[in-house]
Amino acid sequence: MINQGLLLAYILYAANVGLIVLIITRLVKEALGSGAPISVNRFTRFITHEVKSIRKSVVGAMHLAILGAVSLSILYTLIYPWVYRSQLAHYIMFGVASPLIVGLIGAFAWRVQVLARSLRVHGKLNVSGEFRGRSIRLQGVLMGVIALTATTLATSILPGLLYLNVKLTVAAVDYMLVAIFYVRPEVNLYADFDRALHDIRMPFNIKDVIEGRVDASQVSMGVSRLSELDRYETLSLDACVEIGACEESCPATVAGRPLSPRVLVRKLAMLKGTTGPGSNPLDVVSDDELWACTTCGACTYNCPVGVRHVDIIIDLRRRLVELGRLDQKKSNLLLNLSQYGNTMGTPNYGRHEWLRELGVKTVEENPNFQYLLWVGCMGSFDSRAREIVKALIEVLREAGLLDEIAVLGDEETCCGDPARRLGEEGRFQEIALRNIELFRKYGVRRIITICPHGYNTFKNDYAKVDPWMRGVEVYHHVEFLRGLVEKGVVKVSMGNIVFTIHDPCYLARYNGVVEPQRVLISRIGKLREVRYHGAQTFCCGAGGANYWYDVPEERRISHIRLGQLMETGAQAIVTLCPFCNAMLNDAARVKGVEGKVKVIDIAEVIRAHLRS
Amino acid sequence: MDVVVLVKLALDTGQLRVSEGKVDVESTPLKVSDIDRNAVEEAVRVRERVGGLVHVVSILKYGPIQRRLQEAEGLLREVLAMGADDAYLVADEALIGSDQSVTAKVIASIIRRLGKYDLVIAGEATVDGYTGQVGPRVAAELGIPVVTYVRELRIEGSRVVAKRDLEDAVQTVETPLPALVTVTREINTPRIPTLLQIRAAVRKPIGKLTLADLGLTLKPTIKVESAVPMQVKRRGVVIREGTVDEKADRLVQALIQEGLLTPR
Amino acid sequence: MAMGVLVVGSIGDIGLVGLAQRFRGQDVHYLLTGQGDVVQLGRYGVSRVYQLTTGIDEYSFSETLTDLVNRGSYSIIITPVNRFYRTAVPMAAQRLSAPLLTDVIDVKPIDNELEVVLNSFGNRAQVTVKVTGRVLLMAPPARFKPSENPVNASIEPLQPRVVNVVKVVSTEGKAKGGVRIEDAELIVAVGRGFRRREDLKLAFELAEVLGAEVGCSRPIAADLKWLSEDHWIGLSGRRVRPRLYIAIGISGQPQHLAGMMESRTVVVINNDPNAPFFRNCDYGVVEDLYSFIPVLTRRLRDILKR
Repeated sequence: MINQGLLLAYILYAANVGLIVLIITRLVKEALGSGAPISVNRFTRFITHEVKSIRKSVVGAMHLAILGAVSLSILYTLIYPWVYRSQLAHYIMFGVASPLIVGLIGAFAWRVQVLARSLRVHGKLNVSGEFRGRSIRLQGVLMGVIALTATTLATSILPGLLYLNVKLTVAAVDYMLVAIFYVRPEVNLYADFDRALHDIRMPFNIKDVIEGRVDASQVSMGVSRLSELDRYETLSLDACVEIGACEESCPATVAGRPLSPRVLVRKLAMLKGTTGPGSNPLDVVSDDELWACTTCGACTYNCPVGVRHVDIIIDLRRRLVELGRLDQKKSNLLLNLSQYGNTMGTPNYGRHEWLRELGVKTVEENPNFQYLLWVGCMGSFDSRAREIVKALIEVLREAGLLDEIAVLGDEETCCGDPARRLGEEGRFQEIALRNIELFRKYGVRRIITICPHGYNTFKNDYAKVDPWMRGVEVYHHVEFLRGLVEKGVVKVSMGNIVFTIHDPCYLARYNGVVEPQRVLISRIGKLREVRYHGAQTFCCGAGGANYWYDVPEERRISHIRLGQLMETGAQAIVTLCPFCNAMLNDAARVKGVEGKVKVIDIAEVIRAHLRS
Repeated sequence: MDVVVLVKLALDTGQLRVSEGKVDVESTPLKVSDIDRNAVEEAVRVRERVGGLVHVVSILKYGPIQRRLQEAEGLLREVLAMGADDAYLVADEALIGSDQSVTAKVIASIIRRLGKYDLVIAGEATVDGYTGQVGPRVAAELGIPVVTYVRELRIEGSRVVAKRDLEDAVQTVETPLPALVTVTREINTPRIPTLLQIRAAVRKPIGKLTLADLGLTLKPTIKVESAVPMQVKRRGVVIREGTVDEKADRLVQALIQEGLLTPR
Repeated sequence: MAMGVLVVGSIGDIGLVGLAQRFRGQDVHYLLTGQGDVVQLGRYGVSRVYQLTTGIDEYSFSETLTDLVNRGSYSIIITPVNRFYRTAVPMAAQRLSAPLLTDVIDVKPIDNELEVVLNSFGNRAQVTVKVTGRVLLMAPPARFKPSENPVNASIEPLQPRVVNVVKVVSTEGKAKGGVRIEDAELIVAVGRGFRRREDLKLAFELAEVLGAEVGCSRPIAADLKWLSEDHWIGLSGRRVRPRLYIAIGISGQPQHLAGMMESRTVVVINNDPNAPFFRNCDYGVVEDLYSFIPVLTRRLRDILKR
């Protein structure tokens, strides 16, 4: 007679194997559908990325713990028929699983905290009752998966058929939920893990329009139906399981603006689920929700499953721009770009006259220049930012490199970044083409800029408009200064000032430039890091064209950031972006703490510590 | 309902070029006069509500004509991209630097040639001259009622009802169509056409005309002799010493000398 | 040149006679709207006064003015500036086929021609124009001061030609402070130097004495919300270009300067001698605003008699 318990175990085992096959089938099917190449090479890189995410953030570590735990649980299930009789095997299995169990407990605790915050956010954003219900349900299910997975691993310590059957029952439920909820996020990550932050959808190439290949009236810039999103964006809507890392790191949410990246993505996912891909996303998303974003990228960077919030937000902004739904301030930005060629609404001619007095030549006067110095709108017109440029010039003069550089003079206009992030892709591309033409005309091979926005756009965005730009090297002045100091061309002296560094989003997070500023500061004084630093920096509030308009908010993002930086007790905040500098200086003035802390650019720090 | 909107390709006084101490009109760029953007926006909104066509009428007032034509067309393209249906641009040497009585006659002549029109909309004034004459003058020339400084506009059957923004009051008036209204900046926020929309507007017609085409011969009545830019050079006199009263006295004296205060 | 200068306006616009007096040897007549002391006009050399006592709309006024100009063969017509005249006078000018020059600073009759100097190009340039024949001139009366030249003024009531084409349905008074700061001639701007919202009344009092509008820097409107956004002057606020800009307790950040750099005369009052605004002013006063503004307001009240 067959032992009934054993029979049940085999039935459960068969069910589990079935579910595991289901999970794998779904993984393969979704992965094939995602368009991502399926290869050993990519899979290896994907796993490496996952493992490295431990270093990125706590959420990254917890995500890895869940992935590891589910995989381990599946492995244990599969090998049970061969090992269940061995007491020792159980102890070993538990021993191996225990760190992951700890990780799962951590993940569960994280989710409790996310749930609490999302209830607050729902209240503030005043989302619909239906949304609240569905959001809480989804979060509950995923807490359930964590708990169930932890149970399957924890029960591995208990030998005996009874416990085995309990374990297999729990596992069956767990795998079912995993098959339903965890496949898409994981596949999305597999498809998107190597997509750079700056690599947003490019709805058209203006060259096709100019050269007559495409009729302008047939091109749509923004997204008026969900189906017009790119596949990677749609996948990312389906991938969101409300992990909440985006919301935690979003400066707009923290400042009480009407945006939570989690809510935005989930609203669109639900819209797609209820009324289908033909739905208009603007039916559920408000204008200010989209304008609230500073495009700092913290959400996407921190999302453990690769959701592309910023890409979707920009696609919807593009729609608002198409519809002409811009208030006066945003309109003025675009008008100034077309009328003056700069964002400041100031006559463009003579923008570099003041540099002439410092001995800086234009590309026409100095045709043998090595580096084009892109001064930028702030550097050209804003008197505070001019000080930054001046400091850089003085360091270059000290290094005897003044003749290596040249500026464009009256021919310099906007770099196009504000237009692109506001959602006027056409104008951005037109500006980019015009600038690329200029670069070609003057044989520009290397560009130095003091502004991370220009840096990012030249380095990453321009190459997509015209591949010729791949041959142009782009440097932020901090990279250049680091080279000069390390090579000993410029000598600096050590002082006793305590610094902290405010990393610009478009430099540190978008482009991974984190080291040079630290190398330089370590040679000049003491560095005290702020909690959010490096690629995990917190926005100053100016990005994504926010410098030129306002959004309803409870607190100013710049004030929040200044508060964080001041907690370090540093005497000086080092900035690497003229916009960050303006925002933080303004915050210090409004809060009346100008006397306590200085907000200075890295170039100014170097100039003050030059040793001749 | 057919709406005619008057658009000035104004001198961009924010970028006034100067050479040898004189305003260099010929090398100063043009722009669509800001308030005329509001006029276009309102015309398009009227059409969106009640149907019809929006015609743009523009007179080139700054030379040199050959070089300006392309610039003018580019700007009119932007206006068309906002939603207007077609545009008429009169470019003629005789109109460069002419006074507004001539401008109004030319505009009226085009409007009459259009045949059917119900409403003419203009900005309250242009950003370069800021004389605000052309609207009322065109109305006088066409012999139709004029309502100026409109901040709210409603079409009710064959009448227009408008809220006028006066110095110390808001006046609601009504008048039968056809009529001419001039609008203020407050009436709306003009849409900014996207680059793609501007490019797509290439298909909309811009009719280029000369005075001969209109059968007009007009004689200039004024002649611009010179235009001298006002210098914005700060004096930089900082009063640091003395008692509060002395400082106040010195400041008040300075303001009187500048002609900013007139003691009574 | 043909004969006769006609000045149009209320008794308060008498300053325009100062402009009319620059046409030496010409009779100066006055179309007086509303009530007014005719003797006072005679004292400044006005020899004939047409008095229009009934209030009429712009359309009727333009017809009436056209008739009068044709009747009296006036070749120079001078009017004040406001939205009524800006509507009525151009219509009359068109009927008369004559040019209308606005924002006139000065006139110089030379032989058969008239040289007129005016502000134009968005207040950024002084333009000199030569005119032959009849011309209408528009200018702010306060710009001129008539000199005494007593004559006996005759008075003639003027019957208006009333044309009813535009019907006034209703008129409502405007809430104060609804003025567009972009158009203000005089501005008193406030910044972070004010410690409390209530203290802004110091600036409002000064503005009232001057007849100025009150503007502010970003923190006041955007951070503290002490004033509405209509008052905000700067890169992302309004852009202003008054004749006089008085900045009180504003440090002078580039974002603020971007909104006011086209002001004609800039006065900066700040207790911090290192405030960057002092590098961008015509007159600066280094003083605590709390002690300085009340004194300044009192002094101005004395001399302006307000």
